[in-house]
Amino acid sequence: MRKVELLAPAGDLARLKVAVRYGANAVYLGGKKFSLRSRASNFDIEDIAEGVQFAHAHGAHVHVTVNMLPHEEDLEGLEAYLKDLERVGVDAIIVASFHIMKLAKQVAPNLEVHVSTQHSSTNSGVIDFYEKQGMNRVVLARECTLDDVKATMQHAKLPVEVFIHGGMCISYSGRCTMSNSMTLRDANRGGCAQSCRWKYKLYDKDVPIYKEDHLFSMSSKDLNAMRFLPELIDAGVASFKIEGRMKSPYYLATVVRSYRKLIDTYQETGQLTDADFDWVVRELAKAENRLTGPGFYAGLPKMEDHLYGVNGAGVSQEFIAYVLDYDQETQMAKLEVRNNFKIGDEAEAFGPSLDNTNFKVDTLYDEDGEIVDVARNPMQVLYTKVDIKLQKHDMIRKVMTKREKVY
Amino acid sequence: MKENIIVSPYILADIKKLNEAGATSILVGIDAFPFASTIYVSHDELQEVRRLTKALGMNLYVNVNAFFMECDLDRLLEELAFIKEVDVDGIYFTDLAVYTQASKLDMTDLLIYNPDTLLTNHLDVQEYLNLGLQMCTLASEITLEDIVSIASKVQGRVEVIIHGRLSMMHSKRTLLTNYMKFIDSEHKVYENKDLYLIEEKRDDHMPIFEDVSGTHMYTGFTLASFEEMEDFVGAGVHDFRIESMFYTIEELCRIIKDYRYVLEHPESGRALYQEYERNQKDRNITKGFLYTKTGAKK
Repeated sequence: MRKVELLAPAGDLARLKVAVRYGANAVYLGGKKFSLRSRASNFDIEDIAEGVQFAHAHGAHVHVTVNMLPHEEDLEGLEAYLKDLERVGVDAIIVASFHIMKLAKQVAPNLEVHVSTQHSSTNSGVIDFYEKQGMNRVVLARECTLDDVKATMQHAKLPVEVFIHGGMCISYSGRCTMSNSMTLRDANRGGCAQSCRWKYKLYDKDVPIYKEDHLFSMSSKDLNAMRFLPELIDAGVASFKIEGRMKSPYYLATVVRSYRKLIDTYQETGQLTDADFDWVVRELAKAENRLTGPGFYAGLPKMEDHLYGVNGAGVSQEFIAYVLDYDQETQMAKLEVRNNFKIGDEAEAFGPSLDNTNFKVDTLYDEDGEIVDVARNPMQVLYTKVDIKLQKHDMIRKVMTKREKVY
Repeated sequence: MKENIIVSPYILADIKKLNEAGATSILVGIDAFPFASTIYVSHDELQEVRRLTKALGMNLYVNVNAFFMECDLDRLLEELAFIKEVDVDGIYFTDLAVYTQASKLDMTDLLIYNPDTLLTNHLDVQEYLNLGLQMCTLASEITLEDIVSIASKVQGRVEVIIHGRLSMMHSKRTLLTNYMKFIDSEHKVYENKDLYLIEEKRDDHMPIFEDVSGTHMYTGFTLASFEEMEDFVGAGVHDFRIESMFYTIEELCRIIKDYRYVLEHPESGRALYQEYERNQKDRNITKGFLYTKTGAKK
């Protein structure tokens, strides 16, 4: 079966490595220049070079977002930057500006150019346009239904990327200036304030038609398109993108690993069962703090696809420690603390090649060999005995019971 | 050269009034692909508008500004063929599939690229103009300085939106209908253009409406550019659009007359702006982003 790409976000080098280790075929990241998501911790060129080296060593690709819509004063240094990206071995750039696309083809021809979702491309006519302009891939708009994607794929002359999981713009991407107007932060230059998620009073002439306890909001549930994955793969989609450059390493590991499992299972067996989906639902509930839905894949979003009167779902488990090392002889694990836990807590370990396995937290020791009752200092290194064969880069989460279902 | 003032009528009978007020171009939506226009016309009506605008010496532009799904492409091609046959003067578009389909009909020279937010520097604008388009509409979120810089550097026509509530968000979702369902209200929101939002911690009244193409939201301010017209013309801008939405025909004609007057008497720009600001407090008259740079941080 044709191999498809699982494309994951990387807010920094640490997250890039997590994404690759947990199963991403490619990662996308933003440089310090010419990229959206200014609050994500963006990479300088040395970081990008290191990220490329790491990704390539693990058989993964690196895509760099150069997706700002530049103003007159933003253009300086662009050509040198594109050449730098090519020099350090970046595989592709994700671009919204037509000028940047054309310039990249001219000055850095080894970079693939992927047309950003900021263009809200919804059909093969747009793909034809970019194919004729020499571009390499088009990211489809999140407004496409499953049928729209399938129909588009029948005529697409370029590889197509679609979003599979994560946050949804309420507007056609790139066409929203709510943030500009309401906060002077330019959504198309990295400053989106997510004003669509705020609360509004709705009037007809001067008559209020909102409910005081449930003000109007445009906030959408996040996308979870796992159930559409088989048909999207069959339709010929080349790449499945997870949104969220600002999400935590733990969230990233959980989501990437979940979709990796679904893709691999489908490609190996030709089917995904309810049990496969149920496993992913339970898994995502351990890391995801916003409710999810099918986006546009199932058709025009309905009332239940919006977030009214609720912002979060609450995670069912909490990331408590990162495995730095494990001694198989002594069964001692070297852990880096991320969140509060204590001796006796029920915990679950998982990793790139470790299935979810529960255990009870044993006695904790600090680096001086002193017993620690409660792990309360983030990044503190502690040791504990774990009778599961752990590996470096596995993660440990605390079992909680906040929520049963995501969607 | 007489500067081109582009407006949309509300009904066909408005066209003559708009012409008398000083408008030189009429922009209409079409029944086939409705998208945030004040008027949508059938094929027969489009032919009628063509006859009328020709008789008045006006340009006729058609708004094909929707996003198209794959299933729409054949119909888009047919519609473009009809529009070409009607001999319109220009076609506004945002979806590059329109360019692809228009290429098949050898009519890309009619196209006016109007992608709301995307055209923010002269190099991007030039790349699109190099495709053989008739004109490009600059983003409304850039400064006067940027507009002047772009217009003076590009080879080809650029259009500036000079007046009205600016489009702030297009969503394909039925945001108002969904909300009313959520609060269990039967209040009519579909195609209701009297609706507006106020953010819970702010005061601006932001118009919002929902139609067959989704939900459209507009700025809480009304842009007025009377004082800047001389700079625009000096930089080489000769095409100016007034956003007709949320005005009556009488108000729109007055605005056109005032801009026409300012084009002949640039020194009157400041007084006119101040008069609008003073007398139209409910519209929150401002200069939009002309002197306000937006960025990654506030």
